[in-house]
Amino acid sequence: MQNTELMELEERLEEELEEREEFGEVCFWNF
Amino acid sequence: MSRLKFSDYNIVVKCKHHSGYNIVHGYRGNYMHLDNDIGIKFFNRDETLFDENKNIMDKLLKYGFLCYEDTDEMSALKHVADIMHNKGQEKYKVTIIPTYSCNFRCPYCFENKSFTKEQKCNEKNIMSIEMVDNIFDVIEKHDNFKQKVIHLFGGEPLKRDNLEIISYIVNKGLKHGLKFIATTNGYDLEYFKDVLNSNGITTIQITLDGLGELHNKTRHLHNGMPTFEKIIDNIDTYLKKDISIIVRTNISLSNIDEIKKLIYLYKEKGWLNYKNFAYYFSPIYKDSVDEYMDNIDYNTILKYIEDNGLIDDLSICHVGGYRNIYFRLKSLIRNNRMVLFDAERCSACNNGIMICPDGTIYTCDEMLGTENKCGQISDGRLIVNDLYKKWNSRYVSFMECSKCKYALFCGGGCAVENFRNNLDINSPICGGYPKLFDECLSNI
Repeated sequence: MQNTELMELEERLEEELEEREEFGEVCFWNF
Repeated sequence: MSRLKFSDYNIVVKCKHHSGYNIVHGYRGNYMHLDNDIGIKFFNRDETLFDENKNIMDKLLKYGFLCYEDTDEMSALKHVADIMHNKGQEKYKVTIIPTYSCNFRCPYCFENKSFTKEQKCNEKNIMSIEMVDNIFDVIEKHDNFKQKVIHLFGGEPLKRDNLEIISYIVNKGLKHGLKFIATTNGYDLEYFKDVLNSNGITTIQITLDGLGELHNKTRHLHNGMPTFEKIIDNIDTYLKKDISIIVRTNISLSNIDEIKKLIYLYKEKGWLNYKNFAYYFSPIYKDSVDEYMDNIDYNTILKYIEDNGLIDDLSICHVGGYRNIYFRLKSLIRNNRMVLFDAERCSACNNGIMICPDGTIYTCDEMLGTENKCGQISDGRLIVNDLYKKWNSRYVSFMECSKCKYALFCGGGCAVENFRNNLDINSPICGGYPKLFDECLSNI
């Protein structure tokens, strides 16, 4: 991966993690 | 420029319900659907594909499914994992355990390994008002307590004896803008009507192990008395009050035929018409995540439901193991988001704190009551120890898993296995995860 690609990925991931809502049922750990 | 190649982190499956292939990239988080002709070549890593449709090749390259040979993919995955883990470290995920005591005596309860009979029977072992004040002092002081939901767990959190403390916790939480979910046996719910509502405990998970007799065989009161009828009435009541109810059923060889009967019951009761009702079936672990009671695993349950034509919608939505993966995948793909889950298996390795009645902190429910304490809440302060830090250091960047294309979905598996068996905490525990993931992706 080129540095620019990695930076883009990093930026996208940061935004994603900011916005991602909690996945409600995960709390019950359905396994 | 070096040669083009297929990424080592491509996950590719043939679609089950329509033509073509679904592909997901294991650290870029991208998703694509390929038609059959392109898909089969992609699946077989056939390099003649590189000379075909330029638009598709450009997209595959842009999305990371194709890359150049000098790409350091493992470093890229670790970089993504570091960001994900560090982001998670900014926020605690809180579970409050108001008591270890339980009015049920289920033979398969995983807490049987941790608690003595005396601890389970000790009705006086309930969290104090002072401890709740301590917890909320900590929540107020720390920036890291930004979560909106607190999980109530036990023992049995919604036992009649706990009404006062549960009401106190919930009312205090409301002032902090928090909502609650609870794992409960569903028996004493009639006493909790003032806190089970859209401003308090909004969602509960209850377990039914079969119809009447078979349920009562495993999920009976401490004195052996049955519980089935009362739980059914409670579910009926609280569904009408808009409480979200998830019914779990623990499956072994002795009750696998109850799947059919329970689904009929849910239809008959009209529960399937409620948007706030969901249900799923899960196997019982024997000792480890790879060992199941009577060899009944997720796939056995899925096959049973499919072979008997029991469900109109997708069967995997109703089998533990599959359902979380499926719903997360579907939601991320549908909303055009990055299709990645987490760098660790669960919050036990990323700032999960479980607060026991005396303020002791654990990270993992399987460890409750054991000597593996991870900290303490006292005098309005949260103090965590080296064991807490050890749990929180386990994520895929530091594991063999960084080679695996499923790493940022599976998170390296359940760390508790390593603790129990005195293994290196960073050893991966795969537990059949790739198969579960592929099945879910093929159903999208």
